[in-house]
Amino acid sequence: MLTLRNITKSYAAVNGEAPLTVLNLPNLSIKAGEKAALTGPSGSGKSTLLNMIAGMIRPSTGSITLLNTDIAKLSEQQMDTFRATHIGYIHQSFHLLPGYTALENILIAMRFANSFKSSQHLPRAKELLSRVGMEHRSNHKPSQLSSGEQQRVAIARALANQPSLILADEPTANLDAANREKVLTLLIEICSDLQTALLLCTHDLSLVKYTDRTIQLHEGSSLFEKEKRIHVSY
Amino acid sequence: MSLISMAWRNIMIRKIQTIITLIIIAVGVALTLSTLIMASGLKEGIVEASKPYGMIVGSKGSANQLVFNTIFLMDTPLGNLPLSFYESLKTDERVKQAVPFALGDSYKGYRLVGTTGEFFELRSKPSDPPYFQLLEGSFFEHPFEAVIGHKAAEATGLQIGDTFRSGHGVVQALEDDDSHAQHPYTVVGILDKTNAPADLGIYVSMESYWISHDQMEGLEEHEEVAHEELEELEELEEHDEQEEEQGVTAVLVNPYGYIGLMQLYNEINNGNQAQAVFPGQVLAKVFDMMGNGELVLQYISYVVIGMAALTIFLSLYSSTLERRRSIAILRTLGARRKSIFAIVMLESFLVVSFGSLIGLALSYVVSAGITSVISGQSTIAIALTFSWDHISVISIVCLIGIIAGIIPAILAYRTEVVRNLNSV
Repeated sequence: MLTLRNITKSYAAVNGEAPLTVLNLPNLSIKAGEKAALTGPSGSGKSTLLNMIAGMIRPSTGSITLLNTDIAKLSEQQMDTFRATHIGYIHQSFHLLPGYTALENILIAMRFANSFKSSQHLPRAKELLSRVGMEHRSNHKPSQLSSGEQQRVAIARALANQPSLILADEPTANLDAANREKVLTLLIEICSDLQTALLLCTHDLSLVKYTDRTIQLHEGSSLFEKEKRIHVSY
Repeated sequence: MSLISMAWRNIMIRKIQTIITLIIIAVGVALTLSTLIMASGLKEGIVEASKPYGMIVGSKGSANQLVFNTIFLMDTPLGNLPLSFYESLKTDERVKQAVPFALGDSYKGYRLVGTTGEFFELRSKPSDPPYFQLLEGSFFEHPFEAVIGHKAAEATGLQIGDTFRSGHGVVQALEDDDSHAQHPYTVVGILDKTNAPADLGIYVSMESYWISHDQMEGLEEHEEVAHEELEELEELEEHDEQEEEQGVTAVLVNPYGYIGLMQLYNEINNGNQAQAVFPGQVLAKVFDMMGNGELVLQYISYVVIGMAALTIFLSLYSSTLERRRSIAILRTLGARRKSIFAIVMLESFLVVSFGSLIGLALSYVVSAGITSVISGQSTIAIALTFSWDHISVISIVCLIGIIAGIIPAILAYRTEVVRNLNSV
């Protein structure tokens, strides 16, 4: 379902220095419904890779194919719609829109995709909130929700358009131990139920047990040369 | 959730900023529109009041004075035109209607107008009903019968059947109401309200006017002037003295056609006996003078609207900076750059539209308030009428507001997603 080939990301040289390569990934593929953990120390390029798969950063070289579409070749507008429709993104800091209720946060996510008719938006948003156990908090704004509750809403929002792939960037890093377990279990459970692939980015190795496999990114010894190398292990 | 509802929500999130911006826009719009409404209403009232009078012919002198005498019943009358001049106009084959109009006497400060029954047949337009309608009673048929204007009746308390004695000129009449004691007038009719200065007139027949003045001359020959004040008044009565020969202050001329009208206009003005004026032309000059004051108010309102535009810009600019992260989140959710641009522009449009609508409502409330206050003091009806100019003003204000939103919208459009998502 998701295939990455010979992906690199480099930044232009500054003050005569050599170009900075922050990611160099030969191959990576994720099957439909598969749950994979992407681990590695801070600065190893995990978030960069996720942003690249989400189409928010363009790779310097290589191709990213999701659902048989080379997303690197999509225009920005096409990518926006593609992302809204096929990719759900869960952030470490939840990134719910302040000023909007939990329900509205989900409705807004549905507004920009072509997955459902407008008439289906409200019932589906309510159903998703119910699925993450937040139906009683649907009219509350993010500031009125606890961290765990916010992340549950963020999960519901990521699922709003029935995506094929969920990208979760350190989804439990801002949660306490009790909530971490609950939220992650919920996320894995829903992804399993819906047969949605999950790429879980974390530096917490204790979480890898929830996933089908682990992809480990290592910062290469060539960092000094402004280069990071990535090893993929199964 | 539509873009407009998202824009609305964003506005509501920053309530205080929005309310301040709305107030500034509303004040700017209200100031501009009130000035326009009041000025155009006043002009319309004056123009309406002048419509029945057609072309006014009077003695050589100030055109303004002639118009002010005839339409507003104000100012010292110009010298009289000889009766023969009026009669020549009346018999001119180009003239459909020539109505004499003579000023001189007054009662309690309200001017007596000597005229004929034709005066009450004057119309604003040929298809309109007569401009003067009776509220009660009848028009005069005999000498020393009077028909009084609505406001004059209210102010003097005169009713049908009442009698009164006029005074010579306005000043003397106020000092001494008995100068024409031998000629009491009987009120036979009261005119309906015209919302024009004509409401202040007391209308009598020309015969009454002339008889009154003939007798006034006789009376004055036998009277000794005992008071020094009266001597001072003589200067003010200079023009009144001129009326004492049989003549008219003005003739209201309605011709059969436009060509005849223009021929008469040129003939009269090229002669050395009289002048012909079109009230509209004279009033246009008066409006030009009024326009200067109007312009000052309009400039002030432009400054307020400029301030409103600046407030919209600052409000949107700062809010765009504050919510770059929200914009980045929206982009992550699939919002296109143009959607983000549209949301900010819609915010600007909504604020400026609501502000303008509040301003529009406020302008009518303010204008109605001012009109009701001054209506007791003025005989000109200020019409609060809708004009497409108001929509033009609102459109311009909306356009300015929208322009003010462009830079913040571009800033939002260019928001870099990844950098702003990661900045906590």
